Amino acid sequence: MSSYVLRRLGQLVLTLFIASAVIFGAMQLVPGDPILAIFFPRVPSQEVYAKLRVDLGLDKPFLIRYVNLMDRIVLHGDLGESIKQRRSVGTIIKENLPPTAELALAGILVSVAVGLPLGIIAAITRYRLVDNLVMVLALIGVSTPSFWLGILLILAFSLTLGWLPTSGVGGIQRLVLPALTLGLYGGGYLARFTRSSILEVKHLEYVTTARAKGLGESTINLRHILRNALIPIVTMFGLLAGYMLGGAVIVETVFGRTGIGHVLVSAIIGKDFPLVQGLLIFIVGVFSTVNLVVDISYAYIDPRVKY
Amino acid sequence: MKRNRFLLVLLVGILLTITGTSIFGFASPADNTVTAAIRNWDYDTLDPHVSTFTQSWWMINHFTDTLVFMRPDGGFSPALAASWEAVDGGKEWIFHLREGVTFHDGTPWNAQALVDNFDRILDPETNSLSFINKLKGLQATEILDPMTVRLVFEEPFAGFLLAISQPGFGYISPTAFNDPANVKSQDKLVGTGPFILQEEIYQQRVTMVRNPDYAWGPDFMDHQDAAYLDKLIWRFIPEDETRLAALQTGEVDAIAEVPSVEVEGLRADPDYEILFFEKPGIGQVYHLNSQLFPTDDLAVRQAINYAIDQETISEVIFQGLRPPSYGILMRPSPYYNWDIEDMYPYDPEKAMEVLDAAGWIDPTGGGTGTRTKDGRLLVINFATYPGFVAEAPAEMAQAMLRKVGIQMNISVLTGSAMFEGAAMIGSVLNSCVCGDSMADIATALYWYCHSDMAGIVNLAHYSTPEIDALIDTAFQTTDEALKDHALKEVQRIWMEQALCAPTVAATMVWGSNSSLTGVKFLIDGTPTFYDAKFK
Repeated sequence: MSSYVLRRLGQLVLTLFIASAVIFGAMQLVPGDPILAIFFPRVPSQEVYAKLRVDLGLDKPFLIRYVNLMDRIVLHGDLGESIKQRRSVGTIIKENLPPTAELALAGILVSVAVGLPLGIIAAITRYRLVDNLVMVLALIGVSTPSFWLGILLILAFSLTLGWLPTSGVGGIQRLVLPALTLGLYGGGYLARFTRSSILEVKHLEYVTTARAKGLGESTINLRHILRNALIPIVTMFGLLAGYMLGGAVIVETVFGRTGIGHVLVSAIIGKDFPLVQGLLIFIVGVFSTVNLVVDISYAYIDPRVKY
Repeated sequence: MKRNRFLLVLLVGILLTITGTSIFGFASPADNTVTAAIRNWDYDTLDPHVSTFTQSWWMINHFTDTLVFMRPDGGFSPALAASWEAVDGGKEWIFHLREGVTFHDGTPWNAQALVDNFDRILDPETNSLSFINKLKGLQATEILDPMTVRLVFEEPFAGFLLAISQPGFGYISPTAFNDPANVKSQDKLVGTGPFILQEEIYQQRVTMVRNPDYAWGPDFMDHQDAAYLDKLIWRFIPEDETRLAALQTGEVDAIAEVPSVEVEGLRADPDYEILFFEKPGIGQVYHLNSQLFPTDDLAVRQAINYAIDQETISEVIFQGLRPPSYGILMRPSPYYNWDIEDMYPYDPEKAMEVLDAAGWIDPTGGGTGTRTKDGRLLVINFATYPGFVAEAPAEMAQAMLRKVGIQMNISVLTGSAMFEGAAMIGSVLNSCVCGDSMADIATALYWYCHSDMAGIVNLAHYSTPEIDALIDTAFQTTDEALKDHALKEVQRIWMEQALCAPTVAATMVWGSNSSLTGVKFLIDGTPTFYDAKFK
């Protein structure tokens, strides 16, 4: 097990290196002068331009800049400094991670609360009207763009009904609509996956054996079918975490919430390249780590799995 | 049964908790507080010495003051400076500072405080990017007495008052910014303004409270003492529809940038008001590269001007909320030359006549084929930055130019990529759209029309000693009549040479709760809540 963990950690580090190289390369390919981008449509004086060029390391060759970046990240844990905010990317992440984590967690809770029961119901009522209805709902959840859904929820629950606020951070009221927006997609995905997973397990021999032994349907469903069907669903959490981080970019902007996603959008629009770069590397790191934890957790959830 | 009842009660409790405050609504806090929602793209820092972005200046302008205020008529009123003198054509400026002013932390406003502010701005460690430009050429600062400062410049800087009066370029307490223990904005950035910065939660909320000791408001406002509001809160909602919904639910009292399609609906509703302001400066102008084929041909540039119908663009795309523009400057600009407005009326027939006379032949003989001359097609490579505001008019202009035989290829690029493609010597773009709202017209024309800015922002790539001399005169003279003539002449020459094709102006369109009154805009479009109060 420990050798597996070490091997996966090594893969994680390699993933981060490759991702950072791709992200860094992509930033260099973005057309336009990054210093002019900060000031557009105004133009800095020659002195300010020259100073910023040196401060941002733009006077150095591409490879030297990448090596310097890796040196800063690996040896000093420094993701760079935001051109616009004049603060370290690390500080910005530290400030904005809690609201994003809160939103992501709430989104996952909604996904599970919506997706699992719907998936179970669909599996139990396979091929009947209820099953078809649930799958259509799940498809709608998966297909609906989050920015559209978010605005629709604001119009319904804030503007028309006046039940919930439109935007902002703080308090459970301001979390409901954003969490629903994020969670309905995840819920749709989870519902479809849960249904498939349960149906795979449902026809295995041990279930027939349990039924032959005279166990009740609810006991069979909960203790034998669901427990085993949930194992593959754990994989979903890794993907869900990634979706929540990515989805937060849109949802935080629509709902005017601070967070990593909001900062990332602002940084992209403001051409704050060091901040975009630092945030993307951070997001890749989080996503990779979550998936590593999910993979390792299999050994504890499923006794058959041995690394 | 007991368990079911418990679950029911729990469910009801959760629902009530979640929606409980809806009983009281999510209205903006009562007690004479205004909450304003703006976007967050143009917000970097609240430090006036460091900030580079417009919306930061909007907020900074409420807790700081400038040395002088620029009046709506373009003149200047005392602010932190009670009076001033220009010596030797602006080579020296002497400011007599206003007595009895203190920063919000009790530090007195005096000559030393002003010099300390300038020292911080000029210190490379501060990394000032915009304010430092206002002090360009500052050679020395001298304290003549506790309330008098002399500034000496390398060259006469007649436009210094204009530069230094821009809202947002205010002064902060040296006691506060020099204390390394002051890390939070509200502790470090202490101004003299009508509001005191109470809290900044970056990109979420900025809270300001009234300064009860304020007594030096602009003389062109309704009053000059403490603000009417107890509290002013700024919130950041980037999505247009969410921001509008926040106004309509009462969560905020005023919003910036109402989407143009929503304006009529808000106007028709007695609960809301539209606040509209036309900005000065350079509007949405298509700069025409005079050094690159085919826009190096004056006839082509003139034809473009005749073929574009600004009124239609204004009405159809912006419902009139961005008025048509007829020159390089927008109408509210100081020194605006009204005589140029008739130079290029919308006249596609005239456009075709001009092209015919210059040898640009329509191969289809009167249809909509792309014209040619000496075997070369009349194709314009044009760039715009992303967004409906820039792209939609470009597409309409493309269709208008098509009708007279000009093919316009549109590329959507980031601002800096556009600059690189359009501004650099040997550029590949015939035209791009670029504008900048500002009251400092001499600087605006310097950027876009002076030879110093060739390859940088002079996007028409047109430089003549005559235009350079006119702009230099505007900077160096304190004779208003001479400055007026010089700047108007630059505008006339620019349009005579058809170096740009104007489309529409830039405007501020805010929405507010109709119970709120007194929200105004300063000359450059900066919103101010100094006179704001509830009816």
